[in-house]
Amino acid sequence: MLRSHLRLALAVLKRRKVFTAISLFGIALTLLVLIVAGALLDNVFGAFPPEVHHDRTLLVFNVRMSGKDAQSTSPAGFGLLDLYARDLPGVERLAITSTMREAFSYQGGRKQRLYLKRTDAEFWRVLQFPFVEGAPFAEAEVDSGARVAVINRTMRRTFFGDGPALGRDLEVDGLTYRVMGVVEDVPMMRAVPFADVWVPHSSGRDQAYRSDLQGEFWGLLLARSAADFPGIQSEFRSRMQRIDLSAYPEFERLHATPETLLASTSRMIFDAHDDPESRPDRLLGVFGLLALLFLALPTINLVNLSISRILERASEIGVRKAFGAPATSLVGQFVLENVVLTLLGGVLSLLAAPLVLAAINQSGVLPYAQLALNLRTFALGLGLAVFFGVLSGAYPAWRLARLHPVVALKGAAR
Amino acid sequence: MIRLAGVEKVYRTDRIETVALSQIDLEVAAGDFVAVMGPSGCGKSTLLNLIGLLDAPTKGTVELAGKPVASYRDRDVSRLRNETIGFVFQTFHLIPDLRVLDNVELPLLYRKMSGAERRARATRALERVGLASRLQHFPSQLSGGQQQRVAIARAIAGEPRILLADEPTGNLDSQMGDEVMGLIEDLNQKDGVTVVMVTHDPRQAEKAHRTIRIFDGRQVAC
Amino acid sequence: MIFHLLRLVWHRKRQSALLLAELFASFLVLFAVVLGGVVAGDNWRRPLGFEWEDVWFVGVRASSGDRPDEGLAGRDLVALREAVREFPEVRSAAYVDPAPYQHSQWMDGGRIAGRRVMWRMARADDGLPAVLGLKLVAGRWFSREDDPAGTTPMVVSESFARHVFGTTDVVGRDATSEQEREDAAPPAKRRIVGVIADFRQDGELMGPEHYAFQRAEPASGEMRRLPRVLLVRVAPGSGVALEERLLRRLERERPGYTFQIEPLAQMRSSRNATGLIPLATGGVVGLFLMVMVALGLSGVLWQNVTQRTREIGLRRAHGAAAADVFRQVLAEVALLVTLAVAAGALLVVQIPLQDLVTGIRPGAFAASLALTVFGLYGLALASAAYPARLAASLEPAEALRYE
Repeated sequence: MLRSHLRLALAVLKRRKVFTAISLFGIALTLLVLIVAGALLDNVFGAFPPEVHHDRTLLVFNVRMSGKDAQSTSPAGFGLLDLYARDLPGVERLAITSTMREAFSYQGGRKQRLYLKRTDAEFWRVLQFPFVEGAPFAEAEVDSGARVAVINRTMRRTFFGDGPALGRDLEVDGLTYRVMGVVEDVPMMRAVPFADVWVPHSSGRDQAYRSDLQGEFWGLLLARSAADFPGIQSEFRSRMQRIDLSAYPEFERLHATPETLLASTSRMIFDAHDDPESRPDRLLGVFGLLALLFLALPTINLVNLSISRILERASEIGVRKAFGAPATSLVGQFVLENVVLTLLGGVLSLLAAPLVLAAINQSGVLPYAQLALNLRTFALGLGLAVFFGVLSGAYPAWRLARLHPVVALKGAAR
Repeated sequence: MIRLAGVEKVYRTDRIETVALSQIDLEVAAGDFVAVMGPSGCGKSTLLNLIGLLDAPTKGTVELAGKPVASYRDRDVSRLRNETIGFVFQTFHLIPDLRVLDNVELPLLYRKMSGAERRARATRALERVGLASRLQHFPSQLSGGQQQRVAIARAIAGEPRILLADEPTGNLDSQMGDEVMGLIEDLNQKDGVTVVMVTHDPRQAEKAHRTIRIFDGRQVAC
Repeated sequence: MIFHLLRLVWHRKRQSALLLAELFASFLVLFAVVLGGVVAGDNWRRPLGFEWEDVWFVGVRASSGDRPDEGLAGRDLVALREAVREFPEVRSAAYVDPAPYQHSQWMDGGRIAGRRVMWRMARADDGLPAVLGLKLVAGRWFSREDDPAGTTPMVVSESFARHVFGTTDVVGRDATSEQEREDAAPPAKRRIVGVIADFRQDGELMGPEHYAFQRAEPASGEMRRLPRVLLVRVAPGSGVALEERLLRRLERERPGYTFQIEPLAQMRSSRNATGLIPLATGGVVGLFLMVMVALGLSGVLWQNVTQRTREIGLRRAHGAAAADVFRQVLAEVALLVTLAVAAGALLVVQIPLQDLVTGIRPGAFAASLALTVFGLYGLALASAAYPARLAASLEPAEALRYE
């Protein structure tokens, strides 16, 4: 039955070429927009190297301190992570990195804007950067506050041409660093690893940051496995509650939760920094809602086209009914027909998506973007196609399957 | 095989009621061949639709194969139609996008049956109407008579006990019409299929065992 | 004729309802895109209230780690400003926070003179008008005479003055917020010393907002929060070499500090590029949706026409000319568009009526609405043209024989 319906679906689509082309155009462009959006989100939230342990990493982004009349939300301070987040049970490694900061270099009479992160040595173990040359800085350099730097490939080309850069000097914000390693570029969308230049957190002019509760640092907790997350979170929170806030008379409580990138982002967007629960699904809900909103017009459009296409075959509906097709089977047939159509559109958009993504990569709108289709986005595309097909096929199928057989046989459907 | 008792059919719209059929009592025995005649718009087709369970009567009962049609729920009537009734229409109503064989398989699609079995049965039905060589053609590649023979093959593929034909020769020239009539008679005589046929043509009606005349929604003579 | 058409549309109400839904949704999408574009264009051509050419941004941070405005000392800021002013290429230098095109905003609000008002604000020293070319409309800018006062002097934008006081003649007026809660600390006293032309900190894409400057002159003694941006007006044509010399000089002057120099022109183009990304994305997506709708509509109408061949044949048989049939198909579509536009317009006028979105001028709104209505009629009639021609070209006899 399925095969017969599939064959018929293709035959119908082939016969009404103009209708099929119009429908496919709308479907393919609609899905293309969603696939590109999906690829963008995947690049922000998915697992890509250097974040090879993405699935068992918890992040501490923001810390909120609140009191009766005052509230302050900001990235974690180095002290909060260094003094209170070490040796959590279930955590293999703790890495600390600053948020990225814009910095400038005037090396060689040219001005260069770059993004700087200040990290510890564990950063290079939790994240596995592919090194083009050299090596990351280790505890020895961090403890001594050595002015050393790891730079990305683009910075090497900018400052030192295509030759090796190891041991050469790089001036950033008036300080001179020795290049220790060169890594491949990381897209700016990858908030946790991204920078142009990474230096030891101790290499700046000022050392007062070491005891801060709030500041400009993020913590990366590498758990033994995702199963350890709840234990780590509750232990972390109870440690946060024990922090002495007597130096901050205006604040009574301090909130911080280690969680996944998606959950942290959700927390930031909903400004829910004191919510004890992690709610990544809220953010997913928002994305889903936006996608549905966007789908509204294409869906109505396709519903209209599908009804026209099927109405033309009113007599076929009548015959099928006369020969005992139950309404459910007809609904199934027409939904299937629509899904075949949207899957064709999905394939077209998956063919076009790499071109659009390459164009976005080329445009430089998103620095170092490496957008590409992967298995996840590919599956997303096909899943969306089926969803779109069912969504837009259900109503026409339901309506036409309910046609009275006598009316349908006369072909006078409205 | 078919029994209609006190059947009435009224079409209602917002303002007007149209009585299409009233006071129809009809009994068709198994193996019978009945022709239904009458002027355009007298309710012949409505009668056929009621027998074929394509429509529900406003009043009265319809009995098929000794059992009254109790419910007109879609799933129940669909099944009953599928198993007991075959239809032949004036305008053939073949699906233009399907090959001949697929068209004939149609009633079997809604039964639990393997694809091979379906194919075998449909092929047999097409052999029966003499079109075994046209399995892979599309309806548009056939003449009108051939198309109607395909339609008959489709009607009998499911081996129904009742064949309902609505002016099966109405769109055919007389020679093709005779061919088609021959097939229907053959089915009635050799296979014992009960046939109810609506027709305009007295010549075709003669081939039936008996004729019912409908005038203004009423049965006028048996 | 119109009733005849209405009746036709009514009898095909299920199909009409779906087409109506499609046109309605298209109206909303088109309106959103057009409104975005019109508002951006409207904002773009209005005066900024300042001059960004040859002005450089110098970010000042006391340490590299802490909250950025902590650890600044007033005398350090004065010394840094003096150091910069010594350069012959430097025309003027002044502190302000936040600076134009900076991704930072300071909102204030309250009830002043009985009127609730929200405004954007910045702290500035006494020399800012020379650097940014601010235009004073009334009164004066901050100066030493404000030193001893216990009240904070304030320079407000014209729109602020008009909104609160109904006039720009507000120099010397008290602008202290009314105390709204019993237990709250008494609000700081503020007095207006001057009025400037409307000032748009975020640049060309910023909508109309009230603006005010508060005095924060590092030389005038202690204050709660010091500004941390030094704006420098340089000689035209100054380049990276001067930037680097300025930077080295500043680092020598206060070695514990970190500085960032960037021309406002650069910040402006990156800020505007960022602001245009959503507009461009929305425009591209909106355009593709409209093309899709046009094609879809065309397909549906085409199908509709073939399905109604008999009706059309009948009309032709009764003496309708080909042109009448053509007009009828178009008129039916126009009728649907009218219904969709009426519903859509009813919905979107709630935006200004209910004051749902601020920063949209009535003129821009009206223009967007008109453009959208015009656009939707154009779109629908253009997509109906081919099916209508098809219908008109049917031969009456053939049309009647159809099926």
